[in-house]
Amino acid sequence: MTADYDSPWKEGLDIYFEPFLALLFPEAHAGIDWSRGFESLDKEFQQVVREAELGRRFVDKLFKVWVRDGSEYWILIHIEVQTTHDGKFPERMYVYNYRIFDRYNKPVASFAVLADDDPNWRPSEFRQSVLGCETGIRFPMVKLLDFAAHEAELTASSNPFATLVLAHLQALRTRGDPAARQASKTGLVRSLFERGFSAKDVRELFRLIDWIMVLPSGLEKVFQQDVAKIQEEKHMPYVTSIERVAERRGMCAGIASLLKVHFGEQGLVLMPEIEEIHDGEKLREILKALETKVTLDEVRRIWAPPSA
Amino acid sequence: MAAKPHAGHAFEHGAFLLDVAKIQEEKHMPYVTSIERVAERRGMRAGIASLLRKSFGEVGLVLMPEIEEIHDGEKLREILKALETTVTLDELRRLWAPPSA
Repeated sequence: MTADYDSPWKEGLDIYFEPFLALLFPEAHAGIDWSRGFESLDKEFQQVVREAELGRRFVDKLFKVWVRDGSEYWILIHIEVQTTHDGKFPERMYVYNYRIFDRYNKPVASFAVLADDDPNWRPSEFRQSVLGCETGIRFPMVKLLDFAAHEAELTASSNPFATLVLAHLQALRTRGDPAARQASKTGLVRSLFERGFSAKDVRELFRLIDWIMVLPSGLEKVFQQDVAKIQEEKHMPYVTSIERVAERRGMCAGIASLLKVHFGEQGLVLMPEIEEIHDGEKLREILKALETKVTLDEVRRIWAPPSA
Repeated sequence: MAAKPHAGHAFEHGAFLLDVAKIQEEKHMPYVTSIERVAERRGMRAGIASLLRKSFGEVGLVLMPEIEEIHDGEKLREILKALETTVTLDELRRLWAPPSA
């Protein structure tokens, strides 16, 4: 079984940067003037990394924030995603920090999140001493494993990032035990519907959980049935709506092929209109109509009144 | 008006870093949940059934039980594509099953 950890972290940071800091680095969060917003500096960060340094083992995100006295600071969040640790990591914290400073002349605060499963690996500095000259960095570090003792609080939390931390902890704990993972995943999704999140947050978090907690296909089916049940119970068809969109996307692919069969490439002129149809039944009617011979006008009449 | 992101950087790190950034952007593939993948396949299968009826009449539907078992979205896309041009049921079937002896 493979678990894909890194990209959900990047997306999670993109969507939930403020909740992320509030949960994992509350002191830094308190020092920031959130009323001024923040900016994601992906392009600026990409200018200072070399290709060989990119990979799936860690996630970096650079943000611009303002602190209470009005000064602008940059924040580099570095997440070590890999479950086995890497001795080069503290050095990388130092190097990225000075590269960004050198390139943009902005003070940078670096924060590290360690996602590995070794409770004793806790680097929080890099030092170098050459002939009496010292350089280095000391950075705030959070170990996700430390939250394992606080799962009940995380589960009760209204902070959306707490859900990601929980998903990660439960993915770690259920490595090699897919049945247990399926039960955890279902439980986590159930809790999404019980914590008062908006429909949008439920959908985002559902997606991130699904990404972090990968299941083999048999258990995946069980999980999907559980999700359907939970939504019905709660009368919150938030996931069903993305499911319908996906089903319509599939039907539209079929309609496009049928239009080509009947009318050649020219038949595709109708596709922009058809893709706007949000009623799955209407799409089924179009498929049905295209099983027999029709004209483009006749097809169009399924959703549009005949032109005068 | 902000400068274009690429302007003014080339002096230091060279073009290759810019390429990396570009590749990263291009490679961004959104994650699709398993629930959506299942639903999209369901939609494509409905389309395939209609295409089979169009091309072969009701008899074309004999292939549907096998097609229901295909869980690879790319394979279903291939089947749709193949049905856009004339094929025989046997030719179509070869997309997922080896030719019968």
